[in-house]
Amino acid sequence: MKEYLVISTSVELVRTPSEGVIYITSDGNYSTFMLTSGTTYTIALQLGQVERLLDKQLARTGSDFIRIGKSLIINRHYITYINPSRQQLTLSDGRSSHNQTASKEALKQLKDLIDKDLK
Amino acid sequence: MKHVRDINEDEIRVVGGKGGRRRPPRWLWFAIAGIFLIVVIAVLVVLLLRHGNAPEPPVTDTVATLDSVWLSNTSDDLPSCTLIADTVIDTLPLTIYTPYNAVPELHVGNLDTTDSEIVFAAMAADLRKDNGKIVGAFVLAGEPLSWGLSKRGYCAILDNQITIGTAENSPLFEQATEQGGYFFRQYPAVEGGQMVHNNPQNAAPRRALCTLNGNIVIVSCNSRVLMDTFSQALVSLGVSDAILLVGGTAEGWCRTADGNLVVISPKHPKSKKYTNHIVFRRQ
Repeated sequence: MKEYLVISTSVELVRTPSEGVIYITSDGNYSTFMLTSGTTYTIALQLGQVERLLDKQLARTGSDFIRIGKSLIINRHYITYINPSRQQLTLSDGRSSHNQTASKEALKQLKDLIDKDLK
Repeated sequence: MKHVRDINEDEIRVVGGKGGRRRPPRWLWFAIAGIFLIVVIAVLVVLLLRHGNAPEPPVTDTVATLDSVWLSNTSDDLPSCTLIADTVIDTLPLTIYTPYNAVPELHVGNLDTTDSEIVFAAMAADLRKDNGKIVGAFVLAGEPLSWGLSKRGYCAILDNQITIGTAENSPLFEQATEQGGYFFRQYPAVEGGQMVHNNPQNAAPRRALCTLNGNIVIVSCNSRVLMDTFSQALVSLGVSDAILLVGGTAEGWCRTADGNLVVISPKHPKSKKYTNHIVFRRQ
């Protein structure tokens, strides 16, 4: 059964299946959700607040999400390419690719985490 | 709601730490490894018996493959698209986007990422923070939308040909207005194969419109770098002339030969009336 993520502020509400979220980026006090539908939603919440909501609402699929540094949360199912030395992280849902960047150390840890999941 | 501690740029953490998968028993791994080993040995024995010393398949490197596709300058079979190549210059990871079989123009206003006619789009001229208008001279299909010199670099598009240069006064502005062309100004990065120094000293992801081996390419660096460091990397790459495009997390996307959309940076939530892009459309 699908788990839904509901992000609600005083002025708006976003409700989406957790598997429909490719990544979430932050821009100061705003967080932008990139969905598999190609839609982006920008909500007036800091990324730390979004992270707490993911943790609270998604009992089963919460661990699909990985916080990388201060300004990025990704859904691990959409990781297609990690290159720590080039600081390159590509997420893809089969229809579109999204290039993100993060520190070399964070991407190395991410690669190790994904490697470890395979073992 | 439980407290989430702060995180550094060099750290990662799994958001929902609860409910991890139960690890399978250890004996199962040994059993699988044993079966796998037997299968591998059996396959090797069969192959050796049938083919003797067959040559090993060549090992391909993703980056080398991309580079060779880009350097070979494509074949005529390719549709209008953007070729993408990764490289590392002066320790900076760079991505080179080469619009192929595509016609350049400028566009003001919102763009639709689902428009399959567009093979590359990136934000071009900067906007003023106070009134949201375009910084420096700007011509849209022969119509001047903005005047003045704020940055010495320029890009002119006349008869579908892009000219990149550095000058305080350029006759191409007038030509663009007379011939229905396009013109905008930005920070210069490379002039005649030499780096151009710029005053802003902040580090940010950078993008540049460049002439490289006679081709127009867009070079992007997702790492946060100083303008001069990025310009020097462009010189090392072999760029002859370049101006910067809007950097940071400015919107940009492209389409590959197989029609896939590659989002370089998603649409900015606060796009303005004069948000403008350099766009390459299918020929």
